[in-house]
Amino acid sequence: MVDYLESILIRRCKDRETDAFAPLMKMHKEQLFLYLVRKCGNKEKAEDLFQETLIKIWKNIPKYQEREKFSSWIFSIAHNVSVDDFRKSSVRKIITHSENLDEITHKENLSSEYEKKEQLKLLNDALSNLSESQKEVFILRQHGEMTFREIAELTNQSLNTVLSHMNYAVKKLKKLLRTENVGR
Amino acid sequence: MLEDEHLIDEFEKDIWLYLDNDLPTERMNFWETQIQNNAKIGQKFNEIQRFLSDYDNYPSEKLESNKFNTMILKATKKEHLFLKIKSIFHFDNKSESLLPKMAFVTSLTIAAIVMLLLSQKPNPIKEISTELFDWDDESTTMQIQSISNTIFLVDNENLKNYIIYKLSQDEWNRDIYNIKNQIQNLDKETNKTAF
Repeated sequence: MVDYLESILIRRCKDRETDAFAPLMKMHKEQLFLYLVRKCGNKEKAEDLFQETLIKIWKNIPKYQEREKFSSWIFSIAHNVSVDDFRKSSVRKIITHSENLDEITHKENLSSEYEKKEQLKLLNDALSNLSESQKEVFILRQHGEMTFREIAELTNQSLNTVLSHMNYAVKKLKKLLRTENVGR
Repeated sequence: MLEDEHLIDEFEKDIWLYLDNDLPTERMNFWETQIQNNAKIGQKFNEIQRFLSDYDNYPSEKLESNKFNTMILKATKKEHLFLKIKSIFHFDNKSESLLPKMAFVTSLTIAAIVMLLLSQKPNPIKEISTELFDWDDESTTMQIQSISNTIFLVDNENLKNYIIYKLSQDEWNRDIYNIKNQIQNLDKETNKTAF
């Protein structure tokens, strides 16, 4: 049913019906945005990249081939947008939320917000400890709804290399997140 | 013991393709049996599944609906503009009316003509007409007259005298030349009247 609805919306978008674009993208919005947040570790930056991705999706949707999985196609666009952005910025910033954390007081009504931000900080720190390739494979797999073969094709790597990146990423993250949680 | 370790290593390599259901059927069945019957393999599999599930439960950043809607509008902006123009002129395939289409084409044509008239391109016709205005009949006639006079002078005897005088600045030579000419003329006259 979802696939059927998706294919109808895609066809309408190909016919340049703007009304169909919002419902189509709503189906993938959360995972696509989360992928970009995890990728750059910063919500504001992720919003810019998300906007760029939407523009490219709308522009290129007439070229989309139905035999390809739509989610893989839009994630490949998001991947390329983030890679281009990464190339443009010469120095990569490791984003931490420490400034935001300082602003949060210990008032009771803010405690859940504080916990959430702290957890996000832990996760971002852990992800930033991975190599760029390991991180890319891991978040494409987790948020991009892509198979490892599709990831290998998108990132121009062999399937074995991609699987190896995934193994290392999972091992490192398990270790880092466990240590951080124990430390708390 | 060593066999188990080797099997776990193998499983670590295959687990991702197993989760993708991307292994040959035989291999899929083999790991399915191992997960159910081999405690270590089962434990490894559960560990990975638990980790991935824990990761998914980390708080996620959300994109606010109003921001999302603004982004969608921005992405499809050009198309919206086109649709507005379309709606103004009712450019609908079902529409039978030709009047709005004609109005649109006419306005485009007028715009094109105005643009053409306002453009600063040089006009070759203007250049030709300037050349025609420069034509001066009187001076040309004078030039022709001057050339004609020169030809006449070249044929005149006095010119020779003038040239000798100009070249030599010598009156004696000129006079001698004149006397010589006159003698020759007289000689010719005498020959004519001789019997």
